[in-house]
Amino acid sequence: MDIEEQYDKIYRYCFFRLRDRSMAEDVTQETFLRWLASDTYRDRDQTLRYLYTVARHLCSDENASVKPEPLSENVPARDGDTVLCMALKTELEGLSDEDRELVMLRFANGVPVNVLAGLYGVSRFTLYRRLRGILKRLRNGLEG
Amino acid sequence: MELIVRGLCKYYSGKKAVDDVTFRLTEGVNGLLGANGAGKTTLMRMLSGVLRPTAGTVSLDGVDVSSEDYRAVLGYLPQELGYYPDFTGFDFLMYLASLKGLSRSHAKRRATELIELTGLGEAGRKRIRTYSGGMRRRLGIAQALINDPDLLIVDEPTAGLDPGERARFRDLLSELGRHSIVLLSTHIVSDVEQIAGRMLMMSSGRVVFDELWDKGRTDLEELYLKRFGGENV
Amino acid sequence: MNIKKELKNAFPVPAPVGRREFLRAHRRRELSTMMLVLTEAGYVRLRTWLSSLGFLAVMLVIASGGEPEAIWVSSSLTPALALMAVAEWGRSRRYGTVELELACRTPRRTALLARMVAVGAAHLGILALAAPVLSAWGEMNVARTGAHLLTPYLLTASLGLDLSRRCRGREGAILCSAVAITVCALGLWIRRAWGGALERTKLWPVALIVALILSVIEVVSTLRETEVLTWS
Repeated sequence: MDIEEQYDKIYRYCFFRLRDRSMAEDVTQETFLRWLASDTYRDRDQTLRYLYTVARHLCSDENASVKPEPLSENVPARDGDTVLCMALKTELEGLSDEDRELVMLRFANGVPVNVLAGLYGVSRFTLYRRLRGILKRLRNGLEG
Repeated sequence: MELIVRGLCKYYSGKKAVDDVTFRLTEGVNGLLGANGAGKTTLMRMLSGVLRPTAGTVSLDGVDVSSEDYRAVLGYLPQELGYYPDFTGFDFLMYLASLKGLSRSHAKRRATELIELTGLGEAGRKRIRTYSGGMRRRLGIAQALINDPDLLIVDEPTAGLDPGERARFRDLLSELGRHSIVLLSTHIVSDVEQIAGRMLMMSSGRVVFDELWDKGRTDLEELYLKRFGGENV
Repeated sequence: MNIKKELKNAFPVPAPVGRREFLRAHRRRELSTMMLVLTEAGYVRLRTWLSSLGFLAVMLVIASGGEPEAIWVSSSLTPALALMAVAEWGRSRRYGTVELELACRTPRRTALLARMVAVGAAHLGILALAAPVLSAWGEMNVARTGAHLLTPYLLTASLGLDLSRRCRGREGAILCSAVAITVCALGLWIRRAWGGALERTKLWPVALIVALILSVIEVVSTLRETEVLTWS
């Protein structure tokens, strides 16, 4: 498994949940430390599931102990962000937190569907259907 | 980070190629000067785990040179760079990355970055047998960096390069010295004079000079000649 | 608009600060041993794979002729297959990459063993495919046919490994080729000189066992020598 690549993805997930760079880094590193310390052999999918499960729990713990605050880090817009991309971001804001998280994990982090299904405790079919529904909503929102 | 070398020796049928060498290195570029036959290459090989010492120890932050963990953070560019002529530069980097334990995707990312960083560019997709000496040297430094080493050992990296390429190497090594221990062995004074923070000199298998070096000094050649007189630099 | 592609970049994050230090402090080997074998297999030269398949094709063509001599002819070809294997295993020495490989994380012994397994397993597979076909068209049972194919292969490989350790470069390559030719000629001579008498004896399992033991000795010796530079 490419640890660097997964570090960046877990960090993205943690930042998505915590909206604070420093906390997101701490949780990311704690997640990896636990993985490195755990002795069990896992294949790639099992490893991803382990990492996201631990990260999710640690993020929930952080969120529970700290009063939620508005976005504390400014993430600068990238050069070349088109009007369409901005529109997509607006549509994403219109999704529920859970749906937005699902989209981020599937399309930004490339988490395989079977791993996501395990994380959310649903069947692959249910997950596919949900993702299709979200994409359809986003497309309609952009075309409308 | 600290590289500790204690009482390092290498004897070949009665001849002392490296004789009781002891020193300590920390982050930054460290120069190792000496004439041909002074024992530099033998020393570099022992520091890279390529040659077993007759006596003495080498450790990086407490990790012995014989351990896999030492080699995990090591980058080595030998004086004579072997290569598979039918491989492309990219293939060669991928191959060595796999021996360094990198996953395929990690290796691909690093190989692509380093081909750009070392200025190989499009040549990365061409067979190594078509490369010039300078391009092979650049490929050599790329493979030494592929695992983002904490300890970089470079043996005569600029031999056969033109002044422009040598200057580029100096800049690259200088940059690497900010995060890693770089030990650069050379007989070309200008390679190290401006970038090394510590200077070592070897003669007849022994380290005869080991001091912090002010990069502003320009009297390295004079100092060397004064100490070692007739030996060719 | 490719929405999936846009979504990939729709969640930007501020650059982490302690990433590099953390990753450097917690390096871990990312390739399992099985992946290493597969990776080594991937770096075996294409011409080695193609030539090996070519050998299989030739053996099958010979077998289809239905001649009783088919097994002996095929048996005399296996030294050339072994020569290809020895050449692959000795690639690092020939091209001077030993020093680079010794400085890598993966012990050189492991990498060389992986390469031996990759090529050796493929060749064993080829012989295992050829044996039943030759047996069906010939006069010997499968086990005996297999032994006739394997013995010269192992003999050539073990002698080749030994010579590769003793002799460098071009000299080594020439000597290995000479060994292959000798083993090939020996097989044909044994058939001619002893003919049917040999097939009535139990010498063939003895020859196979001797070849197996020699191979194990040579593989172990070769691997033992991989850990350090053997010249100054």
